[in-house]
Amino acid sequence: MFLQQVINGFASGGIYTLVALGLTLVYGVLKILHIAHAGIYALGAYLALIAYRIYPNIYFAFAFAMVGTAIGGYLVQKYLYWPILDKPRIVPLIASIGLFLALEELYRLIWGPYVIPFPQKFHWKSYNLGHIRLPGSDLFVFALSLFFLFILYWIVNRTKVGLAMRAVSDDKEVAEASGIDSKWIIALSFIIGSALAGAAGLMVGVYYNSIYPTMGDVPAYKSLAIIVVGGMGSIEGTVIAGFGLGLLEALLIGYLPFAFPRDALAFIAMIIFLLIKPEGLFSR
Amino acid sequence: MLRVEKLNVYYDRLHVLKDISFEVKEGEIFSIIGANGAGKTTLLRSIMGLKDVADGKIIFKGKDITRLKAHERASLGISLSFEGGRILRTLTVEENLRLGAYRIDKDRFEERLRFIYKLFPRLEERKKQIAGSLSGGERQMLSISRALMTEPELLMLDEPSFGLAPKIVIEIFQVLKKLNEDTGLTLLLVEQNVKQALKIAHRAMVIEAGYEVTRGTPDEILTNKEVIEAYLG
Ligand SMILES: Nc1ncnc2c1ncn2[C@@H]1O[C@H](COP(=O)(O)OP(=O)(O)OP(=O)(O)O)[C@@H](O)[C@H]1O
Ligand SMILES: [Mg+2]
Repeated sequence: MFLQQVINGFASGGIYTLVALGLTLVYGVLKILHIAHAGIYALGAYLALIAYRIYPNIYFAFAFAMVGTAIGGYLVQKYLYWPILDKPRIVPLIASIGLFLALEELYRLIWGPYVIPFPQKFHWKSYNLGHIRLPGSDLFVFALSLFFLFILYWIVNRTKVGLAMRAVSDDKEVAEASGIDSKWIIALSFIIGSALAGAAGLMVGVYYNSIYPTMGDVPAYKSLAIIVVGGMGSIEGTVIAGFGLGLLEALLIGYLPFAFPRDALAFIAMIIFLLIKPEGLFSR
Repeated sequence: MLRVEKLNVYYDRLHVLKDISFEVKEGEIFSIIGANGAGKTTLLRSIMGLKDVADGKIIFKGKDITRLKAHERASLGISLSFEGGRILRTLTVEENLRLGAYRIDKDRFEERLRFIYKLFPRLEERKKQIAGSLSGGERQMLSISRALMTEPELLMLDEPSFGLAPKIVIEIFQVLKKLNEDTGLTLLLVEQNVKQALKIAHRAMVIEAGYEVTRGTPDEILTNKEVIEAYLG
């Protein structure tokens, strides 16, 4: 029972983390809150639907969704944020919220207001560890999240371009004076963050077997809470806060003697942090 | 090497640089002296490409670079050590240096790194340390080193002596002088520390509230009545 809850928590934590990382990367390089990112996440789920119509294969669906959301993210930064970057910070924030709502309406227009099931049925095996049963769907989501996190970790900490990303988010002008094209690094942060969100959208589609226009709502505010708790712009903080939130939700639901409003926990955590440690877990 | 022609720069409606013109020749140390708010930092930022200029021209090695972006100017051989030892605080010392060498290949990077560690052995001892935790003097050394890693032909320095103990100021200026003498590196040095700046400069210019006040050799400037009154009185 306990281990089952833990794995379940790690699975949803993995999804939260993947989505929130896009916000973290964007906040790092641009210092804006990219609310519309949750719209990109939903786009990932819908793109997986399209992919299945073209060629029903899960790998193809991943590739299709991630490339599509990467392009989407790139276009958002180029045509929405870039032109208004020198405006007060409230302007890109409002534009971002506006785009998020517009995207949801767009999905409603194209795919209808219905909940669409994921086109492929997965017959999950369960894995037995002694007398504990671990559901295959949880393991699938958790393992894939770790895989994507590892790739991100490798890019950010082990490659030249990752060094440039860290530099631009630390001090853009010093990075530029060192010969880094910050415009390209910012675009790249959107591309990587959006591809991760696309993967998360697909995984949620598979996991809950449902895709709908407003599926980005809950991840939108949860990822906001996660990056506040993690410390704005900190990748380590986001990973810890994301998995921590998933785990805490699963355990509270499993063990509390009364019905706990699962989705409220993220905000409760955020408020507590804002009161006692406003700079978050990993302040920079 | 660098020619600035009638440069005019604004912050909104605040006119910060007014018809500033000068030329830095290859292999020389050129100092710009001015009080707080004179426009020194703005001038260096404009030359680096971090601040738009309203009017005027910046020519580097015969090429008009007035509209180029900062990273393009860095590739051409212009480098800036920022005011106040500004470096990448969340990165380690060595990552800061690696970043400076973003545009050069691995072999040359290693060679360059050895060269830097010879100039400032203290940085090698602290290469794994997060740069934000360095002392003021070490940070200034790292700032200069980061700027040197790009293999510049023109190194601009914004008040490298600011806030440092006299002993470290002397150490840093010795390194700068040696760099210029041994490698022929051209330096554009901005300072409020008139004494130090004039001691190593070949030529200098004094600016005040965005205007040029006077220019000449250090001796000429040190005997200028206005300068004596403003800075040395
Ligand atoms: N980002 C900015 N926005 C508005 N005004 C600015 C900005 N940066 C500088 N200024 C103004 O421009 C003028 C010149 O500033 P600058 O920083 O170039 O002077 P400085 O000679 O480097 O001074 P200091 O010796 O104190 O570093 C000052 O009046 C300053 O208030
Ligand atoms: Mg200054």
